[in-house]
Amino acid sequence: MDRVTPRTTTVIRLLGMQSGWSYERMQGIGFGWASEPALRKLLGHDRERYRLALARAAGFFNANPYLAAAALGAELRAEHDGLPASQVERLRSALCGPLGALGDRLFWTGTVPALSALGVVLVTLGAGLWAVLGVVVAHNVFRLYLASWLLQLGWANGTTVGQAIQSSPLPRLGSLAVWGATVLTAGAIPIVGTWLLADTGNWDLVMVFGFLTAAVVLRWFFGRKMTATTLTLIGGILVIIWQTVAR
Amino acid sequence: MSLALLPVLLFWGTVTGVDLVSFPQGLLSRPLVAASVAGAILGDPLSGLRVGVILELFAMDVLPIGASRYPDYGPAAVVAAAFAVGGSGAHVLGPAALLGVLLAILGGRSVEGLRRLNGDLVRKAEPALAMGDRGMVSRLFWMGMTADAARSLSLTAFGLALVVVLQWGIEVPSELGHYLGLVAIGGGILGGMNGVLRRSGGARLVGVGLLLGTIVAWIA
Repeated sequence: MDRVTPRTTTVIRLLGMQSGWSYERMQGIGFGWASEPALRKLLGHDRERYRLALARAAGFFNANPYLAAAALGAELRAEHDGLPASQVERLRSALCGPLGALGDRLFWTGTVPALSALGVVLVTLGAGLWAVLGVVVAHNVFRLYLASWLLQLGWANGTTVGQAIQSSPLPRLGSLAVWGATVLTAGAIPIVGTWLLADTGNWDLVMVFGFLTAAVVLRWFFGRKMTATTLTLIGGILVIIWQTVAR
Repeated sequence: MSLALLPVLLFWGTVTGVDLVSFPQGLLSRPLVAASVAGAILGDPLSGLRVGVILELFAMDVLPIGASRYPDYGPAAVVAAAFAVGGSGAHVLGPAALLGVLLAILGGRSVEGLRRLNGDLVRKAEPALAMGDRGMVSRLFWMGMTADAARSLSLTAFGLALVVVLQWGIEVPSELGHYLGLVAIGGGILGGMNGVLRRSGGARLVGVGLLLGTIVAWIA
């Protein structure tokens, strides 16, 4: 990969994958922008091929932004090898689903909530701003390393990148991340709850428990419309009315 | 809130908003990060951390996947921290967190508006994009980024203006603030639990987590 493209530039540009996100092309503009320097280096000698490849790269694309590097590497390889346009487009759309599912599992239901829970637990245990810094550094080191590795994997495997990812440690890592996130987020609730309610009396604890019970009942009646934020705002309004009347 | 720090807070709020939507998605928009840094900017990291922890519990319930709609907690957490730091006493923590929740919902709506604006720009640029126009791809990218920065800046500015008005005009009675704090904490616990159950790796793991958490809470 280093031989053909400014790899660092591509990895850095992948950080802006979601810029220009629209319902029409979803991440297409970000994907096109990230691909452009590499495409120019690969196909710059043939202006027509370069322009058609860039038009394809900026087309519809939607996957997990952290794993998009694999698709980008594979597409660059396919364009470099001169595969027919229809095959490049099939490769691109075939990768959206699996990369989306795996990436969402690894990041949005795995490492991100796990780090978030770890961060709040460490803060409540007195780690302060260091915990916050640790969370940010850990996430970014991991995602940058992963993007660089996936770009290389995509480039090395081209149209067979799907199988390469499947046989890599990533799917297993995704499962481990979800398990870790489940334990950490569940573990964070009593720790953070105790920390936040440390200076409250028994009557306060009864009120919080009452709020939670009412929330569960309302959610059971009205379904998923009753999100935590909606229920909290309803609770807040009721408290304001109650306190205003009481005064 | 010192006026001299206002530009720094506006900048930080903008960074956190852009981080969630466009660049670099490096967890700067997580409420714990956004609020604690805002608290540190204002010279009171502890208040920032406390409000950040509450909002982080709410954010655990959010899956920012693809075209889904989700609240924008970054600028909201910055504003909530500013409210918590500027208030008098611990009883402003609850109102600050609730203000954060409200702004996060508003921020989520503004993300939808941004997506529609990007869509309009893309539709107008279709012929150039079909030709593989490098300049147009770059322009759309930077226009998306700029619009997002403007969105995040406006949201932070609106929130901070609200904080100034609330702090000058309304003295939150301590009893009201206390009860609002309980609601915010309850809501946060609810959000956190929703998040746990939604992404559950199994009831057994949830049980293990709750047990370990209870033991650590007991010891700590």
